[in-house]
Amino acid sequence: MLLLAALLWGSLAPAPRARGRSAVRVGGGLGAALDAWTAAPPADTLMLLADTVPVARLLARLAALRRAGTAVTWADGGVPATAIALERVADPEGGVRALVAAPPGTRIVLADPFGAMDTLRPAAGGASALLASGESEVRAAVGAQSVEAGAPESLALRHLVVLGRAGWESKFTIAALEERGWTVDARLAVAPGIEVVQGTPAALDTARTAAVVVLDSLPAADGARVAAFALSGGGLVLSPSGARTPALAALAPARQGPEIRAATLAFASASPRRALSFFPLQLRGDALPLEARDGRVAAAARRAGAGRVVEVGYEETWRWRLGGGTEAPEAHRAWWAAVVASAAYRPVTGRGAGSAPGRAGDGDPVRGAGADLSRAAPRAAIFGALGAPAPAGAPTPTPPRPRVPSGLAAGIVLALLLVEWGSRRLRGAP
Amino acid sequence: MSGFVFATAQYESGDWDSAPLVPANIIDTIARYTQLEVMPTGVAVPLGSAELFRYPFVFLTGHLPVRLNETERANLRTFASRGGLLFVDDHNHDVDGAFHRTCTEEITRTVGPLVDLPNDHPLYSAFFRFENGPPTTTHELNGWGDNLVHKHLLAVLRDGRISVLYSNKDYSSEWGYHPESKRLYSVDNTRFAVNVIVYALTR
Amino acid sequence: MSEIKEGALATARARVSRTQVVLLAGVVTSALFWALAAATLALGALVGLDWWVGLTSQVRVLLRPFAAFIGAAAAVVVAWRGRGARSPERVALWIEEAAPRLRYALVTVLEGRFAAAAPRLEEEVAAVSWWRPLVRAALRATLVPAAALALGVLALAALPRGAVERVGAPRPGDALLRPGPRGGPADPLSPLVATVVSPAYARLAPVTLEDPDQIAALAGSAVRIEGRGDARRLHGRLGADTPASGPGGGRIGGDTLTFAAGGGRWRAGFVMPAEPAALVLTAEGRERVVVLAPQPDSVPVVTLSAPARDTIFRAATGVLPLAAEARDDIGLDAAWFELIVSAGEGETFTFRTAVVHRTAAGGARALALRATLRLDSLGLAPGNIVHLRAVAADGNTVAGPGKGVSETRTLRIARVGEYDSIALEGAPPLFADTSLLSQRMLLMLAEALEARRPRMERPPFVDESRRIASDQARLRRRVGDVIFMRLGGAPQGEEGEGEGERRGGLSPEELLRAADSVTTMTMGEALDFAGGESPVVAVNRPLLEAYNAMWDAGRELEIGEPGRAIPHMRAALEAIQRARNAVRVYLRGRAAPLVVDVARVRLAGSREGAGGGRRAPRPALTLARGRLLSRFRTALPLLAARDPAAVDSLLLLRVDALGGAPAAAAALGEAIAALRAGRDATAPLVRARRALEAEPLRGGPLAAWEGGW
Repeated sequence: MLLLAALLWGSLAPAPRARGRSAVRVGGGLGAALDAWTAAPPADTLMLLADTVPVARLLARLAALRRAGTAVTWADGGVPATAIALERVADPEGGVRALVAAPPGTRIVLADPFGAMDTLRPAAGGASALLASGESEVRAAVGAQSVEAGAPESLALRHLVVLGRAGWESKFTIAALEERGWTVDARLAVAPGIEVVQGTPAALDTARTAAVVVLDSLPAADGARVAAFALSGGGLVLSPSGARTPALAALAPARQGPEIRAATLAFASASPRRALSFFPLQLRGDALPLEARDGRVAAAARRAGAGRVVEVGYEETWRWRLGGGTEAPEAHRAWWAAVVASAAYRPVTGRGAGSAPGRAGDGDPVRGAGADLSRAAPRAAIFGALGAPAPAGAPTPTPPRPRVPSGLAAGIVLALLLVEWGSRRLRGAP
Repeated sequence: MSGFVFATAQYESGDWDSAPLVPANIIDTIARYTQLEVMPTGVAVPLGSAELFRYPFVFLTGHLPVRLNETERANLRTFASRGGLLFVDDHNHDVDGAFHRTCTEEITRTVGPLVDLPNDHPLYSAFFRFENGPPTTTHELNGWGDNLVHKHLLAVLRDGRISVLYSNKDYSSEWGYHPESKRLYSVDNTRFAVNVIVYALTR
Repeated sequence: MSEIKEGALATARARVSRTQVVLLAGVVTSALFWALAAATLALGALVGLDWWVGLTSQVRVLLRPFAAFIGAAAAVVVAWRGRGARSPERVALWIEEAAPRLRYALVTVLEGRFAAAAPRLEEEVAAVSWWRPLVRAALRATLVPAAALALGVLALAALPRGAVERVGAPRPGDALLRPGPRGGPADPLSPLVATVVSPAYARLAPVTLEDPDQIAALAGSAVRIEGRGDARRLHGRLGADTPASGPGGGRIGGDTLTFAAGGGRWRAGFVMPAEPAALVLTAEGRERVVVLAPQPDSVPVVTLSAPARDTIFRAATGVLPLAAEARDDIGLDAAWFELIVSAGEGETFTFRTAVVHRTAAGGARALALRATLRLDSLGLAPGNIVHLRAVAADGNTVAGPGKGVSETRTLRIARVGEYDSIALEGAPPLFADTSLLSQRMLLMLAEALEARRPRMERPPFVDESRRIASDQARLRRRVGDVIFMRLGGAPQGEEGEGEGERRGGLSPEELLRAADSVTTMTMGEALDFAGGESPVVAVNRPLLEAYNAMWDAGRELEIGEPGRAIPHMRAALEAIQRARNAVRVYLRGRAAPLVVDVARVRLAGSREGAGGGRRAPRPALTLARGRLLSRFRTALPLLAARDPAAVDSLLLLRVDALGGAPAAAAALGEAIAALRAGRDATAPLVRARRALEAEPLRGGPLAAWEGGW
């Protein structure tokens, strides 16, 4: 009876008024709460308890409330530091490199409008994946938080120039690049004054040429022209022999050590280049390793002037194409495409899609590219919209718990009592 | 770079080593006219071994029937599909001979159909210019073999590029002499080999 | 009294029995008529249903039995309802009901319990006639179902004949029998019926396909397509990019596709191409795409099981069992063993080919070949090599018979002495052939000069003769070199002009004397090594003969007498030929490879006229897959929008994928079938995407360098 009385009192007594601050969770009726705030603010301050970032529309409303004078703060309940950026790869076959920032230990599920694509395990700040197609937006889900980025801008691919001597490496490197879709201009020396030429390899200009691949040491004049091209913004790929060209040695990311023989005889699918001998690269200060083998750098890159220079330690990759497994020709093509893409000059022709957080608007979620920012880097967006979160030690109001209305509970209890009473009367029980 | 190695195909059937002086002669020719890196001796490479894929240019000759086994066929198919060039010469110089019939059958079955290579194909201008197509050999002129002077070489083409070059001209005999004897010729009759090698290395 | 009673009872019973017979007949007739009527009406209803919704042939096959079942059920129901006619008592009761005037007299009589009243009751029964109600009942039982049957027959007659035929006698290809919508021209694009007649060699029954999205048949099959409507409104073309050739005609596989019209239908025929293609039919701006998927005819697979390995025989005698198995996907025409016998060595080989145990397979898919080979019958000599293999041919008359071959076994007959302690093996001669050919050329030059002699002045004639003499001398010296080499000396070549130098243990004079001595011997006479003659002379006797003859020829040519030189030149040629055929033996083992002094000869040759030439680019390989993927992605939004063009896009995509992306083509086929059937196509579409699109490459942690890494 006491319980019944308490319940009845609870159902009839007026609700307590919020005192100064009201809290709401993301996903816990935020839209309705904002509707109520718009009609009649129940408290002075709205505190958002966020474990994920609200969708762009709600975030915009929160920002609008804030600008309208309502104190809106938020408490960081573990919003994952997640962002996504897409960049087009300089590869005729297309492809997009997806860079996803996510906390270690989480799982990234990559998808596009046509379905899931892959799952990544982030390490050291995130993970990247090379996607074969990049014509549509890409979504990455990290726990409950999703980030999205639209298709990146398209690239205008120039020609490649391959310089070297007639030989298997030059033949099969050109073949791989052409089969990949590159337009290759080439000059291959056969004898003094006699060269096999394709296209117009002499015209080294970023208006026409994306990168120069130097497979053998060049005469001094040619080396100087190639160096000038690289410094002016062009890409440069150096083989071990090519890096020995005096004019290019200064641009090379590394010095070469003595040649190391192949680690294995057979080309394994997982690590085919272990079956190639290579010249280990000793990096210069500003160079970055791109590929390592047994603790030694096999490919490296650095910026030289406005251009990019990639040096590879392999001199006979053709053996991989010819002697590898069934996938070897395709893998050889893909590897050379990656080498060239890492150096190639990449002029953008399309409009910016705003996928990169750093380029997307001024952080205002309402204007400009703010919506894109909110989708691509939601944590950054909530900082932009609501400012820094409340300090961790600050008191936060407890959000209202969902509960059964006390009137309804009292009714149920009353009905049960009546049933019990009726039952006793019918049975003649006391 | 290890340079060009002249490889002679070693197959299970037939006399694959019927032209033992050709490799040295061609190596001499390559060095004599080009600055290509070239190994001073040739090698014999079994068609049925994975070693084949270390030599993107392979020379095959003989008199006897050429019957490849399945391993040799599979290797040759892969070799051609990956860009290797097989240069076959009929040492019999005889289109009705057993070598020609069996070898062309094997090539057709394994790599693809052999077609007449037009005499203005880039092969004939890859280094020296041969206006009239493949140079005629003394064996043809003297009526040896099938009494024919063959106007064309045959080839299996992939996207316009030669995968298999087939000759009935008996270059194996024509070039089968010690390279030191080359100075006795007013015109070096092995110059066409330079075109074949340069073509293989650059196309 | 008793007789009267019995007689009266019999009379009443007889009348009831007769009535019962009539009623039973009525029930049976009624059941029969109702069965026919119900079956006919059901059939009519089903024909109408098929006309309306277009039932599949699998369903239509069941309709006739279903109608029969309905009829049988109706008959059973009628018979069950009339089951009372089997009982005289029930019949009597029915009579009592039909003739109330009986006032149960008939029932009472039949019951026989009131015998005393029987005569009176009999009289009462006899006084009543129930003929009229009986006739009415019989007529009602017959005429009503007959009317229903007539109604059903009329309904069937009123339905289009084709519609009735589809249900009455369903068969593949009867989609065209289904009447089209009334009030407008028939749609020439739907329905479509294709009949595939495989090449005769395949021995396959013709196949009829209704409304196919894809026609899969052996290349070379005759395909006949048929549709309704006006052929003049129809266009046809092969593939998406081939323009239509105009009304009534199109191009397919390079041949004009001609549409024939008749009976309200159009027809066209073509031969299944060897490569996948799309048949695109267009009418009034609408398209219909049919994928033509040729099925290749594989070549036979042949396995030679005996002999199991290559063998060397000591002697060419004995019997060799041969065994092989051949299989083919369509059918074998014949199989046989093929032999090539190589004889000779060095530069001279002869070949014989033979076919053993050719067996007709008569179209069987598998055949076992068994035969024996008598080595004696081949006339093999030591050193001969037999190349043996099994061959099987299929009956493909379209692309030519496909020939499958087994691996080749090599059977060699050992040479004499091969099993001696010192193994010897033939090796090719080095320079003799060049000599032979050059001699042939010199002979031809001399003969040509002699033929021109009457028309020439003497001085140029002599000059020409001396030029030939000079060449003859050079050739003679080369032959001399060969002889010296066989004694262990190095060939001197043409630079070794000093013939005064002693070479190989013989001076030129000694060599000439040796040649003289040889050539004065009778051919075939045994050489006398004991007489101090050098073995080199003995072994090289044919070459020495040639050397001597060349000397004589050169002398005649030198004095301008080519006519007298010609016999010597012929003798030299013949001797060189014999030298080539001579058995030569060398120690087994590969000759040491010649090492070229690359540095010494580097760039020593004249490169006059040389040039590097221009290289032509290779075509991109992987863009084709990219194009397929791009088209796939374009089609997906159309699918989402339920645009009918989406399926056509997938069909055309499938045509292009059949060649290079079979997995994608298979998945697309499933997706198209699912879409046509109104099922969910997500799973096959996802598989198609996976097949067309490379899997993402995981790049590991975020790299500091952009690009492809």
